[in-house]
Amino acid sequence: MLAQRDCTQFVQTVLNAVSSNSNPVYPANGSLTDVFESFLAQGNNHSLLTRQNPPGGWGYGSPVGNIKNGDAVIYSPNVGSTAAIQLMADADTIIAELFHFAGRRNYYTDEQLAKAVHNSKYGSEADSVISPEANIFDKRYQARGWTRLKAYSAYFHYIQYLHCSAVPQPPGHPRHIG
Amino acid sequence: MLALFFLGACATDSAAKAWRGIIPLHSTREDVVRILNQCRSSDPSCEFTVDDGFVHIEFSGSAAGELHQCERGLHPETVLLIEVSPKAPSTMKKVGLNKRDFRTVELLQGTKGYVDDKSGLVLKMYEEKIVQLDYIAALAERSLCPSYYASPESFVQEIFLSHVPVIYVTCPSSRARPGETVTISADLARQPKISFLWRVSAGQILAGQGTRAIKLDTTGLAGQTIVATVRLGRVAASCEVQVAPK
Repeated sequence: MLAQRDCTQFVQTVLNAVSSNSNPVYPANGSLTDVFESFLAQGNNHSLLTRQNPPGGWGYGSPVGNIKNGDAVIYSPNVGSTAAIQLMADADTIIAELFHFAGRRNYYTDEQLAKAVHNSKYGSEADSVISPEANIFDKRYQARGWTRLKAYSAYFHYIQYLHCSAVPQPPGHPRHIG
Repeated sequence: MLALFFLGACATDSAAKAWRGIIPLHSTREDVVRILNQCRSSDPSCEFTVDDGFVHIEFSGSAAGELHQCERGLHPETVLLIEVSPKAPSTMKKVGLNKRDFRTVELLQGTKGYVDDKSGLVLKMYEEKIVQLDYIAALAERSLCPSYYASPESFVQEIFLSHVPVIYVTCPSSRARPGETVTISADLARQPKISFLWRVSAGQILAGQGTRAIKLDTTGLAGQTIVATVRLGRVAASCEVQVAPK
């Protein structure tokens, strides 16, 4: 899935936008497949996936650590009523978190990623997956109990799901935030 | 005006705090329709916008009591929860509340929960401002829906544990036979206090509206593809059921 053209183009657009001299993409100029392979290649000194919300995370499901330092872990909550659903959820979570792990020194934050999408051609897709009240870039945005971090996360990842997701949605019925 | 939006009065000493005349466990859907002209459908919850905020109202379930597990004697259309998200978050002081009346619960990402057990008012606060108000049953009346009200702070806790708010919906992977009843389910880490609202593009939901799983009747749908969509608060996801030809 990560190698599919639509996904690779989306990844390239986003990572090119967030990459900087102080925090370039790791591995250098890498695709999300490269980031994933680096994540897997960290060695066997720690588990790569955890069900425990780790200290030092963002407070809820999150990337923790850093691939280059060899201590990257993804928190993927236990959601599935069956093993098949859990597998699907884990795959989806891993894809989402790899975007954050792509930063060499620091995570690329949801805000950085959301702004990268908003300022690209993909920003025009927001209307199909986010209502104006949930779109942090829209003047009609209402927090409704959400933090700004969550709003940026919803914006970036719901557009990301249109291009890179392990859980395909029926045509014309994308995941939606209202 | 602001204070009116945020706060109501307690009808009696033991009753919960009211919001615009609606009182958890005392008001019914009929009252909501009469007072606010909202929530006419038979869905287990409804959402609407008022001039200065967004409102979600949750009703008790069917007589069978499957949803929210309330006492059988409770009217099935009783208001259980009024959740209000103000457009312009305000401080406690501005709306006439006192922190001393609440117990504090640390939530995630710098948010805090404030619970007034006696009156059933639960607040979610971020950067010292009220971003969500949940009106639930007063302490003296919670035994009518004991499991639903067991943990008042859970009304303001985050229901999506993954850092992306997402819900997973599963339809049968194989084609259904026409007339077969199929189960479609939604998966989520936590048990939310609000309903799963299901919609299907065709067919009839036989059971489960408001819950994690529905049973869908595929009678008369030979050869069709049905899209099932579930919405939980702001988040929606879908899956497809394919029905075999005759």
